[in-house]
Amino acid sequence: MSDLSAMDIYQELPQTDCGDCNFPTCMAFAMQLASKQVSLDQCPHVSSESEETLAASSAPPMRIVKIGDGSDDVEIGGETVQFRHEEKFYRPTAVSIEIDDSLEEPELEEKVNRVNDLQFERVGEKIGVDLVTLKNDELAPKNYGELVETVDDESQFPLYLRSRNPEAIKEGLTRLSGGKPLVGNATEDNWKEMANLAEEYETPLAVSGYDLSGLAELTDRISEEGAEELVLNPRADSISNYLEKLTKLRRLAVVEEFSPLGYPVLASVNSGAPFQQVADGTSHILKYASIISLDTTNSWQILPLLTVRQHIYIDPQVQNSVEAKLYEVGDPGPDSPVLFTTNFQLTYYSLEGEVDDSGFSAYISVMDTDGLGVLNAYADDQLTGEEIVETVKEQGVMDKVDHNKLIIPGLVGMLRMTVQEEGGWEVIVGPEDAASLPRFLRQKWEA
Amino acid sequence: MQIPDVSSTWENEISSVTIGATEEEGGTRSRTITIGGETTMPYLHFEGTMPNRPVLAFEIWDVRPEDWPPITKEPFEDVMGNPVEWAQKCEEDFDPDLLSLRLMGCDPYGEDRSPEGAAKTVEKVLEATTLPLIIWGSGDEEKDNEVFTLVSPAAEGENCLLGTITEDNYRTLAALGKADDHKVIAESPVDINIAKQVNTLALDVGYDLENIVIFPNSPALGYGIEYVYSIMERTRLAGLKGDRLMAQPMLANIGGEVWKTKEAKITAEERPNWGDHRKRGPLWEATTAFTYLQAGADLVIMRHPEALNEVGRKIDRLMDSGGE
Repeated sequence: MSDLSAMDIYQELPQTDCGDCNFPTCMAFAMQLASKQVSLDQCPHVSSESEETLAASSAPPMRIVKIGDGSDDVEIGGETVQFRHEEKFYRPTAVSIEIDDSLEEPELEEKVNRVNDLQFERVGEKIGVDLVTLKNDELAPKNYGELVETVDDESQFPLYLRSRNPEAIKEGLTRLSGGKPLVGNATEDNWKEMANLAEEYETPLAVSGYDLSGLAELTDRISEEGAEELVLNPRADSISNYLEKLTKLRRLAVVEEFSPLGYPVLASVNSGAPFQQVADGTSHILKYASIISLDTTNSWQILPLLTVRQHIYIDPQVQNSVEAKLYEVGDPGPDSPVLFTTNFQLTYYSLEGEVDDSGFSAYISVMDTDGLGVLNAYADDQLTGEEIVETVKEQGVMDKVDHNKLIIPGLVGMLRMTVQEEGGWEVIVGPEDAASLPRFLRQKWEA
Repeated sequence: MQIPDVSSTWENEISSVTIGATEEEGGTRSRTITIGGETTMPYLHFEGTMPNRPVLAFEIWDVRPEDWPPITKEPFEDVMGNPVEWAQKCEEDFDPDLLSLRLMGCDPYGEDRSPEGAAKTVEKVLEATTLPLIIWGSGDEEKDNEVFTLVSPAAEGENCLLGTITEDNYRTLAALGKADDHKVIAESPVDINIAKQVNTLALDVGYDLENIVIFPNSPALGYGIEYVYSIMERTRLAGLKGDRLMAQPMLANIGGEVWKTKEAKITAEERPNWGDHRKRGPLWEATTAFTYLQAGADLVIMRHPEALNEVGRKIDRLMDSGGE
């Protein structure tokens, strides 16, 4: 399928910059269309001829689905590639924690609170779980509805109401008054009732089936009933079977643009040994789930999963940088070492980790090199002796210490004399890699 | 409903590299280990084959590693400082596929042990163990060349995997590997172009591409893992598409990277909301391994027994194609 450029698409738009599509200009909207992040029907003014011209390239190959209706809502899907290096992954996998309907107070409230607490901060970013899967295995529809209301009151997150029984889902939906939970699962046996509920309550629907052709048939019938915000929930009997199905679904969506399966995918992690839960959750995040649902509230299991997600969804096209400023690691004082580096994220966090490791507290003066590492910034002429002096002086770090020593990265040891003369400090050439820093400090550092 | 066939087929096959030699093959190992040989992206059994199960090695040092956190030292407390006993304990108690010996004692900024001593250590470890052996220098290029000049012939016939050759330092080790029939690790610093360049240089000095394992470095989960995840995927895709300079098995050496991270080391007392440290640490190492395995790693070198065991179970499950 041929892809039109943003400019090609722009030619077909009204070019009035009316803003009705929620983008400031037609060009901004065209750029989003070109990267398949929005759908053409957001523009109410496009002519029918243009609509036809743009049809092929305008529809996102995988639908974007929104779960929840408030400050904690979650958007999933809209992915465009198989491999993150081809472009990027757009919407991080939502992590949903399962709660059984057999739980009673006070255990229920304790568990909901534990789920609420699964929030962390890593490398300057908040990361946490996103959804609660409320399973209906035991309770009658009316009681399940009551449970939905209770959990919704106590939980910070949108819900995934999971039941085979449309009656139970209906009880839940009536008590949520909007809220747009994910509901499911629609199957061969209940798809019509489920589809009608999803349509009536304007809420996203999970569709489940074992083989992909059956799944495609179901979504086809369901979308004919008017429910269009769908999530695919393929059942699989092993982790390699899951990998096969999720790989095929991603290719069908983004390579074939096969619309009956152009939806985000949910994968369940079987309860089992804790390490294997994380093993399977990791597989699903990498390949290719937009939601994973699992039953644990151990932060030692959730933290690595959230970290996999955080890093795999980093945009590979963007140089990742940290703010260029003076950082304090530990509790530095007048005798602490002063280090200098550039604002490439990986460089900075490696250095910070090693300082942390060394047992020393230290100041790290970080220079803005547009996110380039030390050697690249030097090769690019951004990192010069003069720039080092300017950065260190501007950040005023030498006023915070009683000594006069500055440690510069070993990779730019040749800048030592310039910095020493221009800055008037004693400049020490540090190791070439961060990993050698703890030993370097232990052996060489004296204030 | 008829759905389009989305299976991929590839032109090329990743090369197979065998490490170790049995008595019949001129060595003394009880078995050999073969990695590579894939005709598909990782674990996609429906469209290609992975004839060799990815394997796991334990990391051992010739000297007592003072910097390792307590949780990784505990299982080996009684044998650290004695590489022979350490290697034996790994082999007997924990069942890895290979052993990976790092000659850190030769580090000129550390104990600065002699190449002669290193060669003796390697001989003794080989005598006392039966698994195929990976041997690393201390990381100091000049010294490593001196060390391998004696270590490589000392291990002749054992078909070891020696590391590493780099863009700046490849001649000595490539020549030794060729002369003494060892495989070599081609290292590059998180840069796919340099990975290719190192292979080109090895080829230029007459070292066979079929005997190389690619090591693109392997930062820990949370510390740049996404760079190497994508480098491994790109490398494997290029190899399958027919680029012979990228069609080698890949290695992740994660122990040292993982066990210097806060997430693996810090105790629950210091960071209560990160949970049980004795579980979190090994799981951080295991999750780092899971991630590289999914990107195409064929060999992972690790430190913690529980992590190694769990990753082994995961590999078994990924390799199980479900049968008919």
